[in-house]
Amino acid sequence: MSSPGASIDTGFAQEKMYAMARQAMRPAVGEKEQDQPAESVSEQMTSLSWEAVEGKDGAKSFDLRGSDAVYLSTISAALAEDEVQSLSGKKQLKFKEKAIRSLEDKMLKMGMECFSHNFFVAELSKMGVGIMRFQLNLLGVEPNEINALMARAKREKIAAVNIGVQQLASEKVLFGIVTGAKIA
Amino acid sequence: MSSKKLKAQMKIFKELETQLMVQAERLGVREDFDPFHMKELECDALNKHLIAFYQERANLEYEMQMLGTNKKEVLIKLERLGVYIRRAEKMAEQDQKEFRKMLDKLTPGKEAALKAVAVKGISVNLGIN
Repeated sequence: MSSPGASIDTGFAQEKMYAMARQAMRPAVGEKEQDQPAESVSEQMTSLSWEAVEGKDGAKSFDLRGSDAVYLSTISAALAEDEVQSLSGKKQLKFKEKAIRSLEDKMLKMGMECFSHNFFVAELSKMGVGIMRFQLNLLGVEPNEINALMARAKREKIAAVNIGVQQLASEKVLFGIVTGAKIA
Repeated sequence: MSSKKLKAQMKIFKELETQLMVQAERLGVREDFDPFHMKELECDALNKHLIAFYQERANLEYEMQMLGTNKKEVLIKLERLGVYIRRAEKMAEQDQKEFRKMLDKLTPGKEAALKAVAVKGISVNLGIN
């Protein structure tokens, strides 16, 4: 931007030239803005940038970092809390109790599935348990109660495995008796 | 039953056992299901089946003698049941032998201890001298 003859001594004149150069640049920027239609509007969060193109929302990048994850989960938690509170406010529905009971039942089943022999089932159930833990927290169930529920799920699964092993042994023996086959 | 069907059934049993053991491992109770415990479970199941067979035989005999139902049919059932009972009794004997062997393996110093106890001349005094 500086002219060939400019030096430190001519500080004031240099500033004037700078201002002139800026003014000369402005129309060019304006022309550029006019050329582009106002189709896309982008909004930048700390690491998540959203872009609205022709009225449709689309995530440009989804490089989620810790602060954004907290931010988003707080928003969703607040929204979900509002929804639950608005529904549970109506005492006639007894929504809260029903919701808690159904969630507890689901969590018990999923908690049992967490120990499944199938890797994918186990992993999905763990995710499900995490979601339900969050939902139960929102409904006001204390973490101790949730942990107790998980412990119950584990106990029931152990009992189920015990019964399964006993049944298998029984089936094996009966099969051996009926067919005469020797089972190792 | 053909050998193919037998093998297929065996595979199913093995698969079921593997799945149950994986679950037990994930629950942290895999050590509870050692071969000794499994054999014990099989023995228990065998005894239960034997008792059920004896009961069924008694019922069939009662039915044949007292109620006068179709004797031919009942006799066929009794014959088949007799075969099952013999097989089950044989299996129970074999299981007991295997069970003893396993117990001996689990207690390696048992024979030496029994010999030591059998030696005469060892006396133990209890009480105040």
